[in-house]
Amino acid sequence: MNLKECRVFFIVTILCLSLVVVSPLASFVIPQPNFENFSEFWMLGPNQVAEDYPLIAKNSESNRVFIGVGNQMGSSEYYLVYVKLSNSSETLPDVDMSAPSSLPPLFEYRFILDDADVWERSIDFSFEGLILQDEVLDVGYFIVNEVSFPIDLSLVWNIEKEGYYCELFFELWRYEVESSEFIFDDSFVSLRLNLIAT
Amino acid sequence: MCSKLKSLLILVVLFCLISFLLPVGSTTSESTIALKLAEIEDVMDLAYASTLEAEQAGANVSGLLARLNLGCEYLAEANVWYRLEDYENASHSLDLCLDVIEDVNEKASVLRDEGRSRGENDFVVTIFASIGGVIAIVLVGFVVWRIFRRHYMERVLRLKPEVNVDES
Repeated sequence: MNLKECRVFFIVTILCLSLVVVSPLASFVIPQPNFENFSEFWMLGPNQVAEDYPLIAKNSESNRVFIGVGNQMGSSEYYLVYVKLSNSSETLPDVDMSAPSSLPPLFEYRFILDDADVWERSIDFSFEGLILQDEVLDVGYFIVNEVSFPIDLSLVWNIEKEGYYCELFFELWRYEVESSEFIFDDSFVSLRLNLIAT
Repeated sequence: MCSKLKSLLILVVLFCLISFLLPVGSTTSESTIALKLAEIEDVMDLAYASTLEAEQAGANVSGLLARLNLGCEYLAEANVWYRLEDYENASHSLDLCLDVIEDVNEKASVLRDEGRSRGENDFVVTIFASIGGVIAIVLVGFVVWRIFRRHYMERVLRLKPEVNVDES
């Protein structure tokens, strides 16, 4: 190696070392890459796995599901989960239109979740006061986590599926700081339940 | 005279009873609870926004998040009681919520300012450390280069030309 080559080697070495020393400054100057931000929302069966979901609900019989939310938004998020009950699938949220269900919520959960953190709760529910009259099943009470809600829900016989079906669904809402209000997060999970009066 | 005194006494007792009962009734009426619910939801929203700002400024907000989550539970409870028209319990849950979150906003602001000033200090320290480091590397490199070159030249000068003897 001649003197000229040695000089080039020295200069390159000094430049590399300088870059290493300056690298902590890069974190202040170079913007962080934008990853896709999203919220996860799921429902699990009574054994906390995605099977054995309750599909039939008898009068006064308790059922359990698990609801979970995962925050992949890159910062802490303020979430709201609404528990709603419907007698038809037409009143379910329309995710394509970003429209939540127009039905009023019964129960709700609020929580603030750290980035990359997960929230999960068990939900025990049952129906009481199921009365079958003239092929219409009237539901008197919907009980969520031992809180009893008097409801006015009438179910008609579903000829295709042969049963009195209702939809229990959970909507995920997220607080948006810019607009200072909760917005529907385009996520919901639902459970179609066949109610049996006896 | 005695009957007048008696009726006056009854009036005074009635007045006291009404004035004692009225505020209780008013604090648990639907409209009052709806107003209180909206106010405390605003307090919660503000506390969350401040905590988020503190978090983005680099502060450790885990303690505040734990308190906000407890407040969230009370607020959700209050909403459920309100829907069930149980205004006594709704009011109680709202009071508990307010107890938990009322100073979160202030603490979050303090943490946010601390986080921001710490971030600014870190930035200045990093700039000076980087500049100082680069200057030190260049100076040391220059000195090492000078020493190396001197040694190299000495070695080259010590070399003697090789003489090939032509034996023919």
